[in-house]
Amino acid sequence: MPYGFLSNTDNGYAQIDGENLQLKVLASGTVVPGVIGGSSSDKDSAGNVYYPFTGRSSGWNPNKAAVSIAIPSGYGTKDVFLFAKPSNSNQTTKMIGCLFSTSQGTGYFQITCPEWVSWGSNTVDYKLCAINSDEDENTSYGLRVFTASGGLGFSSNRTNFKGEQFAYGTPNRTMTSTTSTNYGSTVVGPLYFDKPNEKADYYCFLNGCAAYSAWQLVTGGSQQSSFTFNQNTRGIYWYQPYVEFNLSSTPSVKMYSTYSKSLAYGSYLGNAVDLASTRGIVIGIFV
Amino acid sequence: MATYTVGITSASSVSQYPLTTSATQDIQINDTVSLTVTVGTNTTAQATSLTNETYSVAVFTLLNCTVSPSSNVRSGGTVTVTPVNNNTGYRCEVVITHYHENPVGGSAGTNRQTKTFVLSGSVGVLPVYGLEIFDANGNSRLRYDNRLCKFNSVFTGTLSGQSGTLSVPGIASDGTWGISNQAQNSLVKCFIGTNVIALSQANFGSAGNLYGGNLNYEIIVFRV
Repeated sequence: MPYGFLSNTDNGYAQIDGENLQLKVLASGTVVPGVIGGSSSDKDSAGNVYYPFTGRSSGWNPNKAAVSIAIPSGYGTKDVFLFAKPSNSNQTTKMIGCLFSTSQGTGYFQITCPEWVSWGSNTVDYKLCAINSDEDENTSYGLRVFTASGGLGFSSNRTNFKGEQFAYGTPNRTMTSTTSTNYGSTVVGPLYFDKPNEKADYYCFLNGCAAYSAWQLVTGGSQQSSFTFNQNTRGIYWYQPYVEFNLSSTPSVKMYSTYSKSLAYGSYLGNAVDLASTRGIVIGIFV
Repeated sequence: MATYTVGITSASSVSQYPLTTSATQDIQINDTVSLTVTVGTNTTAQATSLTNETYSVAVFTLLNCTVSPSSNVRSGGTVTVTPVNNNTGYRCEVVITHYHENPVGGSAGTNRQTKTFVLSGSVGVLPVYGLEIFDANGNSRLRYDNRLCKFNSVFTGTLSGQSGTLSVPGIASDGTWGISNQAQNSLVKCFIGTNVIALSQANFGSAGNLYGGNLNYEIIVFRV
């Protein structure tokens, strides 16, 4: 550490290190998670999405289409850090993911959910963060620490994301049948909360769930014998990583992939499939 | 889970004066303290006031603890002190007012005196070091046991060949460094090494790359 200021917690973790940069909250809000889908032909008159875009309006839980939220001008998907949490504990299953647009500077994101999870009118709180040197509040008071290159390493005039734990991996799923509900052997996490009594305040880093369309690349798997092989659709429409909040008395968050349940609309893959790229999650509290 | 017994008594010889008497008891989060506070007296009138007068009911000021009972407690009474949060201090202050014919430093125009009893200590193991930062309103923005989620870098590019490395000075697989590849349709897996991020191409096996995947990567590196 050639420059700056270093403070460690009592158990040796760096709080402020003079080298890395503090996140700044650019935007925050509340939204009902929805499934990925955009065209009017995908929806009924009530706005429910026909999933999986083949005219099917019934199924597990027809959900609203995910709402697009603009990324502030000047920032792209690689510049922003999306965090989210359930607004309340009313949901039994609290799974969310995200979709990023590929546009830089004029992009947007969506808070998404699997088809089989009904969010009803329950909402998710999100915070969109980025790196810059703007203060959140009056700068006449408090502590600021800069890196050697002039970046803002810490400011007490900003809302901070107090991270607790991190995990990464390539979530997989064991699709031994098209109705399999197995998680597979690779679940990222679970990450347990240091302060269970404050479980409603915990956010999770959602970039690790990032999708850019209604499908994700996977590796492995094989054709289910009774179905026609279609390399353009086999399984990948249905395979996406999501984070699941468990707000029980032992609260935690983990990331794993959804599965396809329907024979008609589901995966053509059998056996285990892996996500093709590595993903990570972080949990913590904004203060 | 333990219950500690602490008794604090003010000497009768100082009944004319205001007095603060303290005791210390470090405890764990599931422990309790059975606290008895007693005002020493010299006269029957003083003792009678402690029993009968409404102004002699104890007044509590609490920090990171609760007491039970919390009302109608008088000199000689016992309360149970229970901590609230772990890894910080607690403080239970009890003020009892009593009669004195000629109090020193008592309330002007009255014949009353106060005795203050303070029980304090730590809950759990307090930190040896660490930084705590408050905002202008006294809210803790960073506590001595908090870790800040910090951005390190973002790497964008295209993997050439089956594998590669990215140089990230300081990075280590110690649980404090985080990475995530969020590139669209990326086939690049990444792993945290010592001072590097190792990259490798996902193995499609004999089926090959049928899905239009690419070797682009967009890896966010951060630290908690």
